[in-house]
Amino acid sequence: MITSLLLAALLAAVAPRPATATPSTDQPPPPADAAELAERIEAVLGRIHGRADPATWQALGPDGAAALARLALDPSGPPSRRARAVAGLSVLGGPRAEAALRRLAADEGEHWSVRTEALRGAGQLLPAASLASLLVPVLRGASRPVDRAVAAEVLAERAPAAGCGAVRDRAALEAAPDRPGFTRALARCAALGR
Amino acid sequence: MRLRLLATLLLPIGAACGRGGGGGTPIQTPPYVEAKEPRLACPAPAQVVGLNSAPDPGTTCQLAPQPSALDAAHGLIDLRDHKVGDVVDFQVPPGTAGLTIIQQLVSGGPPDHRVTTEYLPAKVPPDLATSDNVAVIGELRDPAGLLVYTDLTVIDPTADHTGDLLVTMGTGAVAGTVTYPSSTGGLGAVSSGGLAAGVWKVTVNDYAYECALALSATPPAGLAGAITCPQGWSDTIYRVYVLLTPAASSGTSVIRPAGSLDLAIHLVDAPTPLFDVTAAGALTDARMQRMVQSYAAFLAGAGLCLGTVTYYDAPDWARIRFAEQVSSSDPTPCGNLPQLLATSKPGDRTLELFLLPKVLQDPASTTGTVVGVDGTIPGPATVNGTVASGAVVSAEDLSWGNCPVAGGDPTPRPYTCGADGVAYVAAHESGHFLGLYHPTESSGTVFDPLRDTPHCECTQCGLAQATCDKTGLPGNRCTHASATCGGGANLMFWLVSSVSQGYLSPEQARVARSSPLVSSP
Repeated sequence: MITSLLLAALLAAVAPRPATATPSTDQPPPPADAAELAERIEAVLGRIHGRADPATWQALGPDGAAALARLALDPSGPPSRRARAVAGLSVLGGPRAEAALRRLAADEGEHWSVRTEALRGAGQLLPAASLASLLVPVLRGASRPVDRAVAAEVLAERAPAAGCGAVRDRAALEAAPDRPGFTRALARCAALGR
Repeated sequence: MRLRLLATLLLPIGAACGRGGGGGTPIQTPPYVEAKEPRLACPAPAQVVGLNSAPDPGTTCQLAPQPSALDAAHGLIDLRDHKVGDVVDFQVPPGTAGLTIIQQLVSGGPPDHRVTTEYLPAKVPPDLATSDNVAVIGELRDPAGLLVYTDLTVIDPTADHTGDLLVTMGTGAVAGTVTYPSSTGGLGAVSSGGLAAGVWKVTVNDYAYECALALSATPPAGLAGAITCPQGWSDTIYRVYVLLTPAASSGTSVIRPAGSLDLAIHLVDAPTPLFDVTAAGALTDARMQRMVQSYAAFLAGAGLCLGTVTYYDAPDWARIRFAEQVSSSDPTPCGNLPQLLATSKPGDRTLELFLLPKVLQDPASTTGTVVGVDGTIPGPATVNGTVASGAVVSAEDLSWGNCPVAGGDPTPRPYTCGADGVAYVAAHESGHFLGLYHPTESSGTVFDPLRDTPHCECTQCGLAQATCDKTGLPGNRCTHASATCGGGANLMFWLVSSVSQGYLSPEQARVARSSPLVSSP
């Protein structure tokens, strides 16, 4: 019998996680300097299959959001790490985070992984009203089906009042192979009676 | 999980090879040198296109037992179906270097394949957890009756398990696998002559049955007072395979000095392509060719040559279902991740990799991604089509960075070349499938069961434990010529960083080559 502590430590990557168990609830002190912040960020962005929970991002300290915003907005960086930086911004919040997410979510030329993460992150960070104003144009006008589908999903989940009508309209226009990408959004809207 | 007593009882090699350099004076202690397996020189792999015409299962969840690619003449012992608690005999012939036991669910058990266990404070901190109903053998005994493994006890995860004969820490529900040897202790035990020939005994088992035992009037000593559960199940039936790995026919070790591995790469792109590689196109796609070249280089670090790479276009239904909807924390065997792995083709002796545009951290529409995830550690080698038959790798970075051309500079650059980064993750996940754990976990307090992989111990390497617990152990702290602050460049280190090189230790390589998935070169 293996303890869930061990499972948590070892298997986040390989199996469904147990419902409990983090080794420590202590939050570390903020990074002492830029070098320590950089190494913490590298450890968070470079993980292969480990989870990054809110406490993970908060452990980057008060300068974490600014550093993540720089990485997320740097088009020369690897998309997987930039997308993770976006995920961190969506947890940490603040003006820099919000500005970065808005910019990346609206950028038609952005890498798919970064943009879809920004769309999801906007759903976590922005109030429903401003979320709809950001995402409905993406839903209607993005050239990549995956961007439209993720926008639909976030709207249905976070701003259904303003978004579900647009989601239904857009789903009806999607080509057959891409329409299943709207299934969850449509189901959510239907469940909410929207 | 195992009796810690076993280490001292069974394996005399531990004390002399202690990791911490204990004993002796500083002047007499030689400088620590991290052991690295040399990369094998291999021919370029054959590359072909395969056809995956698997029908859409609809809402049916694929959990049925699958066949092995091996037959009785090549190491398969089909023990057929048995209920948990059954003790089953099997014959190990002389000249056997290792064995793998795979349990596949036939019927019974908790309806959702989950089990709740309370770990009592006598052994570990109070800890109530709902987890997979892990399919793992109960006990394994050799012909002399020696207890090679027991799961009927609770372990301390931070303890040293290098001396244990058999270690398994990463198996899952429905399809569970253990491989022997998987630790320094096991490698030492088989090094002189291989496994003991004769009748071995294995107990069919899973966590739900351990719960039933714990609730019984006479619980096993290792579980009594250590765990309790709201409910247990004693009716589960598993199909049990034993796969024997033959000893090397020559050389100084019973474990083959080199081997060959065939790979299947399933391209599970979105219906409107994102990373935009087809199976036919992969044969000439510069990114994929570089990726495969670098993957082969990492594999060569285990003494393995890549034999044939077969590319598959995922069927349309699979692209629609899985390309953007696989998460690393799917809660049940019927979730998208296990069900994607179950689309691997039964009967092939291949390591199955699924390349996706992105792998989510959670199924919900929240942020967070991972770049790779494996079914179980080890995977059900030679048994494709199960919920654990392979690994998923993200193709997010495939087109990124400055990469040498395929056929050019053979040194992988996982931190600056996206195709090499994808290859690195693919090789890392393959290492898990072949039985390798992270030498150091992110907390810097849990380590693999191999003695020649250096630790990187959080507080010994200048970090507060709370920092490692929250953000994880950074690679740059783990590059010292030290048994306690090293290993950051190892392929199986828990993250990819600027210090990643992707080598393996000799013991890691021997464990990998012990897998029944590996064939003779």
